[in-house]
Amino acid sequence: MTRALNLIGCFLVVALLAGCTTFVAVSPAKKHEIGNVFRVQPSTLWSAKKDGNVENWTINGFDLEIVSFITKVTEGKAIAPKLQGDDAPTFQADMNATDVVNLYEAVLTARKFSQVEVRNLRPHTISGKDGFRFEYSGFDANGLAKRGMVVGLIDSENGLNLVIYEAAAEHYYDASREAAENVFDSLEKI
Amino acid sequence: MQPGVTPPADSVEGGLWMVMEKAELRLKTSGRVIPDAELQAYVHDIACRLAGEHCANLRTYVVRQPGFNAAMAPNGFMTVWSGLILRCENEAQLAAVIGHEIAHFLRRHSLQRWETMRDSLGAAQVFGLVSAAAGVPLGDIALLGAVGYIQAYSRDQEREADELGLETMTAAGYDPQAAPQLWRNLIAEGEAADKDEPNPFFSSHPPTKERMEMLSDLAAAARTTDTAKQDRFHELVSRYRAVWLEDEVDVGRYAEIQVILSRIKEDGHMPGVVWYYQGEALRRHAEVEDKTEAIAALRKALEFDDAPAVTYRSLGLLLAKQGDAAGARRAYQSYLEKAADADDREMIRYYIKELEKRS
Repeated sequence: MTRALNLIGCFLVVALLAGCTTFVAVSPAKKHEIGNVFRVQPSTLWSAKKDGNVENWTINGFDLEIVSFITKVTEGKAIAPKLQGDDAPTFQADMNATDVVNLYEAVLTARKFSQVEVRNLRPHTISGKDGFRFEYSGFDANGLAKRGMVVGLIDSENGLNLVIYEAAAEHYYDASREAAENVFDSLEKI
Repeated sequence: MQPGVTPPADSVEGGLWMVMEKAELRLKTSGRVIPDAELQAYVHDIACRLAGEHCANLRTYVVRQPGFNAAMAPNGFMTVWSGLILRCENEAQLAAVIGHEIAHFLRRHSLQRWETMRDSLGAAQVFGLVSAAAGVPLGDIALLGAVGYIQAYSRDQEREADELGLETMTAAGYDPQAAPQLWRNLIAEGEAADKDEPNPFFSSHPPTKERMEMLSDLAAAARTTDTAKQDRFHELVSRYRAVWLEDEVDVGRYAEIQVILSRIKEDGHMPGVVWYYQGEALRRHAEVEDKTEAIAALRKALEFDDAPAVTYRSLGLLLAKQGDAAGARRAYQSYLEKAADADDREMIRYYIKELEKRS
């Protein structure tokens, strides 16, 4: 009986550790490679979790603030295929920044955002390459006001690459904004 | 028990009220309720004229949410989605839906549905489903698909709500023919759909042929005065039509949008806006590979004074992709001239420079 309990205990510990290993600390002391597309050096300690071509960082918890790196969205692929399903609008090689804003709005719609407002779409440069940047606001599926900013880069080799900062409009957006801006500012194209 | 009388807390209905009060509070603090006192008062006034002596027990919330839905909770709060108002051609059609929902409320039809939910689901699921059934567009909206199963009214209940709804709208001075006409419009929209998606309103109010015939018969038999003043409907809807159409386009139900736009076009309201969204829906629809029709719709929009400045931007985007650099540049320049305050001007200037580099 004791042996059986020990075994169950071991399984639980292993299961818990397995759950924990998906998060890693992102140290501000060095540069990090993201999806073989970006190199970034944050100014503060973040926790990261990777899932395919998406890497998410947070300081206080994903529901409060999140930096998402979505890399290598190639021709015919949706930005968030798991969320958006088979009928999602997909990235096309001839798309420009305004088209990507529409694609991103579709992602927010799939996330059940309402009253989405996109602002200040403008050119943005990463390692000398022409990209774009915009901000947005809206209410998430639970009615919580959110704000976000997005930097994007389209290149012929990797397709569409996005870096997104999104946080609860009240308190957290401003509280973690400097840390997020530092991530954006440190972005280098590999 | 009469509607509006608070049930004992330890009764079955008391439990339902408690959940509904939580759902209502969540809705009120969610930011989804459109912050326009005039619009809210307008819809509440329609509900009150239909509910008569029960007006004091009603609270109405117009929420910004694409899609056709309205629902009334047993504790007296009603949600009306902006997508529903967008689809109404006049106030009488809006009154038809509100009157029908009030009839369900007055006959306490949802109590039976509550008992079904309570017996078959856990507390967390019940809250989600009850909220969804009350038209609260929060939380896991995937639940809306399940709502139909849980909340489907019986045929007798639907008939009773149709009869009472038509009776009250006719008594309030609305033309009862508006009810079957609205349903015909919704059926046409459903038939145009690219895919079969669960509609929360249709799930609980199935638009069967038999029901259409019954509604038409009831409307034909009703003594109509058609005296209700309906001027404010167009005035208020015009205020939001562009925003609500944008919401529908964002959802991506492009085929249904075309049906809605065709109907609005027939009414002749805001032709520039309507043609712009027709072009925009075709522009964004990935399955429409040939964008000629989209370009034609955008050009048509520009024949009208009310065409939004973004019409030029969309036209520029399409012409650029078609290789018409000169046409795209002209369209972008027009956008910059018309949209002096646009916050994407820097991006458009970048597009123009890129086109100049290529030519």
